[in-house]
Formats: sequence, structure tokens, C-alpha cells
Amino acid sequence: MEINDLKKGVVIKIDGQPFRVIEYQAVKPGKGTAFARTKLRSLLGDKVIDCTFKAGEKIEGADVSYQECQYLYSDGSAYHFMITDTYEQASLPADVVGDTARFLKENMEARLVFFEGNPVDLIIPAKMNFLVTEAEDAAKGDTATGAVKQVTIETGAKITVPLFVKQGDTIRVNTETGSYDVRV
Amino acid sequence: MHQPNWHRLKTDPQLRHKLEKRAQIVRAIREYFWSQDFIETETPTLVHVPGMEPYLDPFKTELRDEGGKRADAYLITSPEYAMKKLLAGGMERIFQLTRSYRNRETLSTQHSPEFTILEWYRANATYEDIMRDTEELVAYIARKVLGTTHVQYQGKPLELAPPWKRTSFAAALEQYAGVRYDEIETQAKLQALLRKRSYRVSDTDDWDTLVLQLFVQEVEPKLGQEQPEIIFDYPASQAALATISPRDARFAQRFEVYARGIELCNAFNELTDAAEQRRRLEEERKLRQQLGKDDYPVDETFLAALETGMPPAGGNALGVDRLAMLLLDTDRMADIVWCPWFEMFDLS
Repeated sequence: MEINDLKKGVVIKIDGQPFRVIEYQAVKPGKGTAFARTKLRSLLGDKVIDCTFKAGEKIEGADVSYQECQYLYSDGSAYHFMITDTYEQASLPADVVGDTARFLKENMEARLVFFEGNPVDLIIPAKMNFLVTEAEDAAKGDTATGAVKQVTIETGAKITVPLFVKQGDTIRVNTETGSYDVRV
Repeated sequence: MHQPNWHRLKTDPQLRHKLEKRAQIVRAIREYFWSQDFIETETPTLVHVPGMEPYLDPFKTELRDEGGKRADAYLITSPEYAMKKLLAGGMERIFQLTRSYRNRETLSTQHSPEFTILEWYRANATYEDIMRDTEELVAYIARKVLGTTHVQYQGKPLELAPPWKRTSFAAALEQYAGVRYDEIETQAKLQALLRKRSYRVSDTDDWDTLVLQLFVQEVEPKLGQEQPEIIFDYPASQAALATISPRDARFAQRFEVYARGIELCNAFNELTDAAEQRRRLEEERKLRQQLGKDDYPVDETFLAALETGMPPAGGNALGVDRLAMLLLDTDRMADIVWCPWFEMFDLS
């Protein structure tokens, strides 16, 4: 692959080691070739490195496989899943799940990433619907354009939303950025 | 996949607010330049010969008359050749807000193939005058549209009031990457340094590419954190259309402005020597051919204008969409562009 194939979540190999792209920025200097500036997280440990790739540079993809799964529960230090096809259980340490944890709902479907037979990463849907469980009413007459407030969704995560969102609404959230998308 | 902006506008008052502010930014740019006695020009976006910049890919089309006679035609990657012709014609202060187009870029929700560019040129001026223009312009827009030069970007304050921090390219390498310029002036020294820092270096990478890679990875993200930062005097090998510094021939009189690691503009003390310009264009054409890029001849109409004499001048090209993202505190282009490209195109 090349820099155009890189994006968040793609797994590549550097010196034989698998890394997941966790930040990605295309950079086109005022003069000269284009670059992709990335932050990569090792899938074998929690090392994060900065790496810049040049346009035209060959990048080795890592041979990973994906399995559909259901999220079961967390015991604090790890998150447990059931593989949909085989009913086998698999788990990921909390630090690998990271920020994604704030969007996990029991029994939701997700995908586990396997490298050399071991689960190394979790992918959840890019957009998910959540019930708003706590929201303050917007003050009457507060019609300032662009005004926002914070609400709590069923997983406990806090989301910034427009004032018209009420408790009991269902909203769609972009799970990559954590930002409000639309009221459903 | 993405909800189109016309639809988001119905339910998202923040989006409408940002798009209206973007329109105010464009209006403030015009107001500023008119108040400084500049004339607004409107040069073509459809041209016979586009810019020669080796790493850009212009959109190609063709011009036909009703009888079927044809000529190659391209969309501009920037309006600079045409605007410099107008300088040669005696225009002294000109500005332009126009669309430019670049193909084969890394497209995303952050990068558009079509973007709004602001260019301005001052005859009998230097790039230092253009630095002041840039500072004053951005501060004017911020005051006019936001009521303050003290803005927030992605949760941290940014002060836009002049004067901005000025750092030479060489000093930036030293301050932010801990590299002395004289330690990396040869290909071998630079390669060795990058290898020591675990960069993936190939023997075919030229010096310019390697030094840019160092700059992109270790310097750029740190630039312009509290206020915008002017990086000036780039390596002479990356001069493009800039003059070489009379103080130190290793550097070209070119500057860029960075805010929060994002490049906002690229400015030059404009090269006015037609023979030198021809030499550089031919060199860039050769590099285009080596890179397998679309090959077209140098723009003789541009060189003909330079040959009649262009006054010393400074000029700048500033990305209006990026400026709008910065001022309106968003990292999503779809928040400041009325109808983003990905609402229409689905690449496969």
C-alpha cells in the first residue's frame, strides 16, 4: 500500500511488527512531495511512535484477520467478547480498548482484529445510536446560534449536542470523534 | 455515507453559524485589500499551461471550437502566472480570491480537490512587507468577524494580533528538532542523521525530500502554538519562484505561516529575472518528466511578460479554507465549505 491507503485503524508492518494507525494527517508542503504524518500504536504492547511516510513509498500491510463478535462485559482490567461464529470467548486488555470503551453497550456487535491468532484490537461501528439519559432543559429564550450543551448517554459518556436535544431522545454519535451527528 | 450539508443545515444551527461566518471572512478579506488600495483581479481558472510545480497534478481537459479545432487546457493550481503578468503590465497592488484545483491529492474529509485561494502581490515591495500584510490581514479578519484577535482553537488559546513570531528555517530546525543546519548540508550527513533517528530512508530520496521529511515530522507539529509563526528563508533548492537571499545564497526569500502546526500560506520575494525563471521552469519540467507527471511546455506567455520587465515584488498565496477552519475552530472542512466534494463523488 501507499500513503493514500493509510487511514485511522489500518494495520501496517514496520520492521516485521504490526502497528495500527491511530492518527493520520496528509501534509502537502508548499514545495515538494506529499507526506502522511502518522502516530502508530504497536499491537504487541502499548508503544506509540511518530512516523512520516512519503508519497510513492511502499508500505507493508500487516496480515490481520477480523471476526464478528458480541460485547459481553468488562471486569475492569479487560473487556470480554463472544465470537459470533464459534461462540468462543476472547478478551482485550482495557488499555487496548482505550477510549472506545465509552461507547460499548452490552450485546452490541463489533469486530475483533486478530494478528497471528491473537485478538489485538477492537473495531466498533463508526456511527452508533444512543439513548440520552441525562440532559438539562435549554433555558427559555436562549436562541443564540451555535449554542450547545453536554448530555449523558446510556453508556455514561458525555456528548456535546445542540440545545434542542432532550432526555429520552436517541442520538447518533460518530464514535471515532465522539461528536454528535444527528437526532434519530 | 456522509450527511450532505444542505441536510445538516436544517437541523444543525452550529453549521449554519459557521458557514455564515465563513462568508463574512471572505467579505472581510475583500474589505481589507480594498482599504489598502489594492485592485481585485479576476484571471482565468481555465488555462493553456498550468503551474510547473513538480509535485502538483493539474486537472486536464481540452478546449474545442465548434469546428473541432482543439488545444490542451488545464484548470489552474494557482493564479500566480497570470497575476505576475499583470505586475509586468504595471499593476502595483493586486489581490484575487479564486478557486484552484489539484488532482491526485490525498483526499479526505479534510482535503478537497477544489479550494479557495487568496493571492496578493505588491510591486516595489519585499517579502517583509508581505509578512506585515499577512499579520495585519488575519488580525483584521479576526476582529471583524469574531470581535477579537484572541481566539480558541481546539481547546487552546491562540493570539492573532501582530507581531507574530518569526523563525528562520534553519533556526526552526535547531530549536524544534535539535539539528544544526551546517550538520545536514550534505546528502550523506542528512541521511546519517535521519537513520540515527530511526527514519526510514531510501537511497533514492534527494536532499530536499529528506529535509522536508525531518521538517514535517519534527518541526511542523510544534510551530505556531501560542500565536502564528512565520518560517522564512527556505533552502535555495526549494526556492520555486522566489529570489535567492543576498545575505546568504544558501537560502531563498520565501516564507510560510504556521498556526497550530497547520500551514496557512506560502509567500515569496518574487523572482523577476526572466532567464533565471526559464532555467528553473525547465528544471522543474525535467523533474516532472522523471516523476512521470503530465508533461507540458513552460508557459511562454508568462516568460514573455517577465522579459519586458517585472518590478521587484512580493506576493503571497493563502488557503482561505484553512484560515476559516482556524478562525472558526473546526478541524472538519465540511463545517466551513458550503457543499463539500465528498457529497458528490464516491471514488472507487
